[in-house]
Formats: sequence, structure tokens, C-alpha cells
Amino acid sequence: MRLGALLLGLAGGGLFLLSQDSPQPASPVSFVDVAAESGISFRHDNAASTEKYLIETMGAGAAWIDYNSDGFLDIYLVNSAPTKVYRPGKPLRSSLYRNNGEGSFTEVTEAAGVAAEGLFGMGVAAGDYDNDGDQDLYVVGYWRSILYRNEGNGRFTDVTQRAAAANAGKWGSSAAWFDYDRDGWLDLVIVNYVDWSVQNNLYCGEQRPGYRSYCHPNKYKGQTPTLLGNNRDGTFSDASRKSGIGSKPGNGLGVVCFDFNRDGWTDLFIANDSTENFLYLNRRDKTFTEIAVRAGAAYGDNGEVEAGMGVDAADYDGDGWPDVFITHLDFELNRLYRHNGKDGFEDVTFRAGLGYQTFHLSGFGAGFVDYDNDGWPDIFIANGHVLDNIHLFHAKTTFAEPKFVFRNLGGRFENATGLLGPDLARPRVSRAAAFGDYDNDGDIDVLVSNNGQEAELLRNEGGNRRHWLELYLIGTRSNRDGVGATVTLTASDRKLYNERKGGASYQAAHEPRLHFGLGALDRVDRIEVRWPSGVVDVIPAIPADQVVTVKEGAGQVESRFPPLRQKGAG
Amino acid sequence: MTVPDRAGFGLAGRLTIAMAWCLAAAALFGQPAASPYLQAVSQLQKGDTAAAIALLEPVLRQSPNDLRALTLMGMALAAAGRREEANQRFRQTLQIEPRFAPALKNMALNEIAMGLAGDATKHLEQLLELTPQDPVAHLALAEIHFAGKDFRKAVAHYQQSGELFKKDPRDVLNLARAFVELNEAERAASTLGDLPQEAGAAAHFEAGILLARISDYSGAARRFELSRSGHPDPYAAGYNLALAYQKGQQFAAAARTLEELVSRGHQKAELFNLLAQAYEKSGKTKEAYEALRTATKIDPGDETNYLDLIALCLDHNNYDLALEIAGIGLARLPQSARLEIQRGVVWAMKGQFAEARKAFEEAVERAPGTSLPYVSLGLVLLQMNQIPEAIKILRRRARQDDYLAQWFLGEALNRAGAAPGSAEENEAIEVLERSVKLNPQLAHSRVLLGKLLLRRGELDRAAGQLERALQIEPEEVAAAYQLAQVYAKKGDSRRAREMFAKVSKAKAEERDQFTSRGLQQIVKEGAR
Repeated sequence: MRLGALLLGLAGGGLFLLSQDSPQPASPVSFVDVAAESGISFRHDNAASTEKYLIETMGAGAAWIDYNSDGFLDIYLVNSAPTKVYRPGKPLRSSLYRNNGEGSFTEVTEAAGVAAEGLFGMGVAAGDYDNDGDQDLYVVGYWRSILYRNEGNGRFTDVTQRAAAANAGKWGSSAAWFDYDRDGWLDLVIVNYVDWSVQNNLYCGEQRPGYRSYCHPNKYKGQTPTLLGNNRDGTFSDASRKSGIGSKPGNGLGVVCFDFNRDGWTDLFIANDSTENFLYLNRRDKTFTEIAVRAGAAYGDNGEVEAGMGVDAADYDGDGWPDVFITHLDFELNRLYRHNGKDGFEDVTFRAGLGYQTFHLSGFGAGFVDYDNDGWPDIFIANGHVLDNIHLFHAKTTFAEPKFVFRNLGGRFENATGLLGPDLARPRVSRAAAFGDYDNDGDIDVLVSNNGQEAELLRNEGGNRRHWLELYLIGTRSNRDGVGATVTLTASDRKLYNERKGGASYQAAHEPRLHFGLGALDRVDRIEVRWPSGVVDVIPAIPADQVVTVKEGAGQVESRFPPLRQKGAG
Repeated sequence: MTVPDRAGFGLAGRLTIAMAWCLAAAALFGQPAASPYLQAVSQLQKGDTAAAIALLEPVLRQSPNDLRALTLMGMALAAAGRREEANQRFRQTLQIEPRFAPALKNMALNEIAMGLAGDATKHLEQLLELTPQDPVAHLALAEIHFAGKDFRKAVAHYQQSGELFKKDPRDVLNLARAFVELNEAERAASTLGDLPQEAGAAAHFEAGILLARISDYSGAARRFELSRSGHPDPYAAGYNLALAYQKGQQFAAAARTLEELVSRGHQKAELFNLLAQAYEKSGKTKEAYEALRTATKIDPGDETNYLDLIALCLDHNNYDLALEIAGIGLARLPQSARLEIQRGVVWAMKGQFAEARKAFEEAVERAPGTSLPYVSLGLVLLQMNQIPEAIKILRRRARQDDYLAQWFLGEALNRAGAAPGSAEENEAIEVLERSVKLNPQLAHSRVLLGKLLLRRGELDRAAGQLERALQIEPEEVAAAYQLAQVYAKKGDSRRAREMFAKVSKAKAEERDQFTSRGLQQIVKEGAR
């Protein structure tokens, strides 16, 4: 008996349920890697060396960003840089790919001025920090980061120094835009990892050829997160200590910004590697209190620390409260923390059916994504080990690993990976996974950055066989991106909750639209948008299968997300 | 004067000499210098019991109620080994004068020599009513009570014997032993400080054993060092010295001592095993490995050395070598369940769970009456995500009133995702309660039980189990974590904060959970 069905049996349910607010049978969805045929030739160079610099194995990031505001998601992929012991044959640059609107991409890095050459890149965050209507880029790196301001004409300007946004001296991993003080301008949080350097690089592993390994992060001191407060004039101030976010060090890798207690103020969850996670509760006075331990999400369910990497928050069980999912290394469990509706979480990793299924995999980029549009957020995980010689220690474990997808059956999960096509099974050393509907067809595609390998563009084929709705938000009093806005969509007797997040997962930037799967429901009865400013917009009944743009205070406005053209068409 | 043979407790002999002198001293008052009585005393002091008896017989014929002569005759007869006759004379004396202290004392000593501890005790206690401070009586009673394992009384009497007990190393050791039995380690150590340097190798050796028992390893090492010259078993003295060094964290000294034993030609597996431990703690892993290999060659039939070798390899993440050692060990000891389990652990740590499973199944076959193979198999099945099989195996074993299997069955049911209020959750709680009942000192069962009760909302019961778990294992993070949540739910913010702070402080270098390394820890738990 398949494990998934057995678990359902224990829960008293069946695999096939007929009521409308219960999940439908699995549909024939597949993910197909179309990177090469789409013109994405980017290959991440991890600068691997026999010195085993820890930075080599941790990157890098991937972003969806509509940089030219044409309604099609473009791609940004982060690269590394030469090191003391690594001199590449050609210059290493991050890459911006423009979506041509017909299924292909063109590299426009140089024209756009976002090569980030010389930066040993990690994560990336996309957001309109200056509220001028276009998406800016923050490229996170080791020892420094770069803020690219979008000039609106296809070009970016490096304004890092002027903006005081360098995060200098820190090993930044992931970053997220969010409006922590609700002043209508996006602030930036950067989670920082450890104080590794070339000078303090250690020899880890056995003293025999081939057995030197990347060190455990606990060999180094953790770094505190950085909060850059937007001064509304193109510059930032370091608010880390004053806000409390920089109060204690962690080995920060992943971050998600979401409203934990639904009070209208965005909170922060940071996944730390081999030390307790952080949940920073926004106290609404420009300060935060760290509450992960008492909220029950700092550790595994036995109080154990785990290697937290990717993290996301969403309402997976339809109770209206955001739950949290965190990925960890192999021989640890990926954890699902269910919100208790009050002040914390309960570890439901086993009860929700996740259990030991990913025990042999090391999860990095991950998130809640309703890939089959049945209205229940599924879980997508991009895996890859950290040790390139892991096979010497664990015979059945490899550096490159397959992806893993948990399908949500209405509050419990089953392993759906094997049903989604052979490209997910191909082993890769995956890191960032960015979710976005790049072909505007109503289902979520996945952009994956792989350490030392080509990137993957996993196009979702078949997810849009069920109904869907996407929501694009334009803030006016609130920040232009609408980050922090919460949305309640009502369709028949289903209520779906979502939140515009300015960052999630591991070193990734997802697309700005909110995606809702509607299953068999072909119309939406009501959409309520609560903006950070306090303004509430309500959209009355509308048909499904479209992108709806909502402008703060004005309700639904014209959308500009065209479908893909046929290749060759004008 | 020759020293009389020490019969019976030995004490009697020592005290008889003393008594003879005391009696002689008393006899000097009021006796002419050349009287037959005094001559008898002199003969007795020389050890010529026959002459003493011959001198005393006419004295008693003439004065049959002479208390001193009667007592001296008793002493002479006792020294001559004619103990029953001696007792008769003492009884005769006491019939005339029940409060005649010398008769009481010597009769008691004679009874001690005859093994009549009860009678001796009675007479000594009568004596102490007359002369409460009598050190000889106290010492004698101390020895009687020590032999009878009434250590509290033994200590009391030793202490009232003044400096007398210090004259004999055996008394010093006995007093120290008594303190050890009474868990008064400091007083035991202090008493052993009275053992003089010239006490003899055997005495120092015993002192070392006692000090080691109370974990005073540096003190023990000093005594073992003193015991080395003159001890009839130089290996034992040297080995114990090394062991004391090792336990006292003086690893280099331990290694040196053991190397010295090796250079003197001692070739015992236990020696090389201890040497390996000393080397490893000194950072000499290669030497540690070689020492253990030597141990396996010396005694190929002892699985301990293979197990220790495997553990050494695992500590250094050398799984392939660990497997090789397991293979060698199993080739020599094909029926060893412990080696098979350890081999399974290595497979599991390599992530080769199918092979680990085979090894554990094999161990179950070989040792069906022990719990460790079952729980190891159950754990690896969990990690292979074969939860129903894990539950089946553990249920089978749990029925045998096996607390370890019951704990793991509870864990397996929990990890199968037993929903609150379900039959599986009820079963989990039931088996965990049984596990706790069978072994109240196993913290892990209580922690899991507490967690499940917390989930059910039974906060008081949960708190009870978790608090007890923390008493048993104060550093158990899981207990503290769950307990913090219980307190928080009960609204006890202060205690919740304290517990959360405790959890925050505890950081794990290793991933301390149900991983393959957890198997190693569980093996240690089961091997206790």
C-alpha cells in the first residue's frame, strides 16, 4: 500500500473525495525543464577549490523580476566571483534574462548594468524600494551586497554606496523587502550567515586525499541579521540594533516576512543553520521581539537544533492562519509548523504526512505553491547536499539530489514527485527556487539555481487545467508593491488566504502576483484586500482564470499581463 | 618476646598482648617481685603459655577465688589455644565478681577468636558500662559491627577507640570502607589520609580501590603508586594506577604507566584496551587504533575490543574501516549479536539503511530475548519511512514487558502521525505508561509521554512526567522544551520563561535527534 494512502487511511479519509472543499483527484501535471530551449544558458560557477571555502557551496540565488514592466516575468540569476585560490577562465557575472513574451529569453545583463561582477553572490531580492513603479534589485553577497536601482529605461544604476546599503563585512545569504514601520516605503532585511573568511578558513574532515570537507557552520561565529530602514530619499539607515532584529547572532540562511499574528504588521521568520530559528514579532513601534522559542518554532519537536535553510509561510490547512515550513539537511526532518490560531505553532511534521520522506535529502529553496490549482498549497523543495564528497561518508547520498514535491490533500500531504515528470527526478545541486507564472498561463513555474551547474526553468504543464486567479497589487498609500497586504478570497464555501510577501525561502525572489488555485470553481465571489495602510478594497464577484490588478483605494484596475505570443508573432 | 599467632579476627591476638601488659602492670601493685603470679605474667609475655599455666595452677589451688589469677589463667589458656577452658576460667571469675573488667575484656576477646560475636558483643557492652572510654572495647566492637555490616555502629566505635585504630592499617581501611558504604566520601578520604606511608603495599592498594570508588582518582593514583613496590601482583597495581590516571583525566600519565607494563612483558587485552583509551584521549588516534587491534589479536574471543574499535572508527567518521572491523569481529564471533548491531549502526550512519536493516534482523535472530536488536531495527525502519513495519516489530517486543521497546513503540506510533484521540495515540500513551512503570528511571519515555499528554491537553499529567524526567536527567533538552510549553499553556509565565531559557542555552553541536547518530546513543542506552 502506498504510504500516502496509508496515511490517509489512518486519518480516516480516502484518496478520492467528492465534496467541493475537499481536494480533487491528482491531475496530470508535469514540470518540464525548458531553460536551454528558452535561451537560458546561465551556469553558476561555485569557484570550487581544494581549500573548501565555505562560500563555494552555499550559493546562489534566483529571482523573478519584471524589470521592464511589460507584464512578463524576467529572470535574474546570481553568480559568484574569483577568489584567492580560484581564477576562472572568463569573467564571472550574474545574469539578467529578458522574457521575450513568446517563451524565450534574451540575456540583457550588460545592457541593464546588473552583472555584479566581482561580487561573490548569494541571494537576491526584488522590490520597488523607491516607489517609482519599477522593480529594483538587491543582490546579496559575501562581504558586501549591491543595490541596483531600476531607472525605468531598461537600465539599472548601482546606488549601493549612496544608499548606504552595502551590508559591508557581512556574509549575506537571503534578503526580503518589507515595510516594518508601515510608512509606505519598503525596508530591507538581510539574513547573515557566519564570520567565515579566507583568513580563518579551517581544515575540516579527515586528513586523507579527497576527504577534506566544507566545515560545519558552528566552527565559526554566527552573524546578526541586518535591517535597513528606508529613509524615503533613496537612502537607508541601519536600524538593526535599534529595532532588535540585530540583537542576537544566528547562522541565518533563509527568511520569510509575513504577518504571524494577523495584526496588520509584518513579522519576520529567519531560518538559522544549526542554531535556533528566529521569529521576530513586530511590536508596531519600530521594534521587534524575538519569540521563536516560546512560539514553538525555534527547534524541532524535541528541542533539537537543525540546519534551517529554506523557509516559507502560508495557510496550508485553510484555517486562516499562516503556517511555516522549513527545510533542513539530510538526516534531519523538514519541519511543518502549524499555527495554533493564537500565539504559536505546533510541529505537525509527522501528523501532516511529511515525516521521514525527505530524510535523505538536503532541502534548500522551498515554498508553498499550489502547483495543481486545487486550492490547497503544496510544498515544492529544491534539494542538493552541501558536501561535494558526501558519497565518501554516506554511500547512498550524492551531492546532486532530485527535487521533492508534497501534494496537499487538504491538510495532509503525500509525495507527488514521481507523478510530475522526469525533470524533477534529475539530480542537481539545487539552491534557490523562485516561483512565478512566467508564461502567464495561470499555473506556477519554478526557476531553480543550481550550485556549479546550469539553472533550470521548470515550466508547469497542466496545472492550469484547474481554475485559478492571480492578483497583482499596486499600493498608493502603502508601499507601491503592496508588500504586507493580506488577501481573503471567497469562492463558494472556500476561503483562501494569502499575503503579499517581499521575500521568502532561500536566496530567492518570487514573482509579485498572488496566486490562487480554485479547483473546479470557475468564479470568485469576493476578494478582500487589506493594505498595510489600513485601507480595504473589496472586489466583488469575478470570473476565474485571469490576472486581476487591484490598486489601493481604487479597487480593480486594468491588468497588463498578456498571454505568451506565438513565436514569430509580432 | 615472640608475637603470638593471630587467630580468629586477628584483633584478639593484638589485644591479648596489650591486655597481658595491662594486667601485668596492675599486678605490680601489691605483689612481691618474685611471686608466682608475676612470674606467670612474665612467662606469658614471653609466649611460654605452658610455663605460665604451670605457675598459676598452685596459685589457684591455694586461692581459688583469686580474680587476677583466674583471669591470667584464662588468658594463658586462650593463648595456648585452649579457648573453651579459658572461657570457663573467665566465667568462674565473673561468677565471683561480675564487674571484673579484665575478665570481661579477655572473655570478649576470646569469644571473638572463637567466632562468638554475639557473646563477645554482650561482654564488651558490659565492659563499656564500667569503663565507657575503653578504646580496646570500642575497637573490638567496631570490628564486630563492621563484619556484621552495621557500618554506622562500626564507625561510631572506631571513632571512640581514639588513636588505637590508627595503629593497624586494616582498621584504618575498615573505617574508610564503612564511610564509603555510608556514602560519606569526604570522611572516607580523610580517614585514608591516616594510612601511613609504611602501611604496606597491600594496604595502599586497598586504599586506592576505596578512593577510586569515591571517585577521588588523584588520591587513588597516589595510593596505587605507593602500592607498586612490594605488591605481590605488580600488574594489578600498575593497571589500577593507569586506570586511576585515566579516570582522573591524566591521560598521558595513564599511557606512560601502561606502556611501562607493556615493556615489562605484560600482554593482556584489557591493558591494550585501556592504553587505547588513553591514547585516544591524548589525541593519538593512530596509536589508539593499533592498541585496540593488538587487543583483538591477544583475545580474539572478546567482542568488547572489536566494539571499542568500531566506536573509535565512528568517532572519526571512518565508516568503511568500522565495517571492516565489524567483519573481522564477526568472522571470529559469528554469533555475536552486539557486533551485528554495531555493524548495523555503521551501515545506518553510511545511509545504507537496507544493509542496516539486514544486520539488525540478524541480531534479532541471534538474541531474540534482548531489546536492543528490536529497537535498532525499529529505528532504522522508521528512518526508511517503513513505519508500519517498525510498529509491528516493536509491538512484538513490547509485549515482553521490555521498557525500551515500549518507549520506541510509543515513538513509532507518534511518528506515524497518530492523531489526537486516535486509537494509535491511546496505544502510544498506554505503552509509554507501561515503559515508565517498568523503568521509572528512563527519562525518554516520560518525555514522550509528557509530549503526548500535552497535546491532549492533560497539562498536569504532562507536567508531572516532564518534571520527573528533568529530575532524572537535568540536561535533557527535550524535557525542558516540552515542559516550557506546558507551563506556558498553564499560564505560568515565570516557569515557562525559565524553561525556555534553559532550552536556549543548550546548544547541540551534533544533530541530537532521531538520526543515525541517535542509533549510537541508543545502543549505549541499551547497553547500560
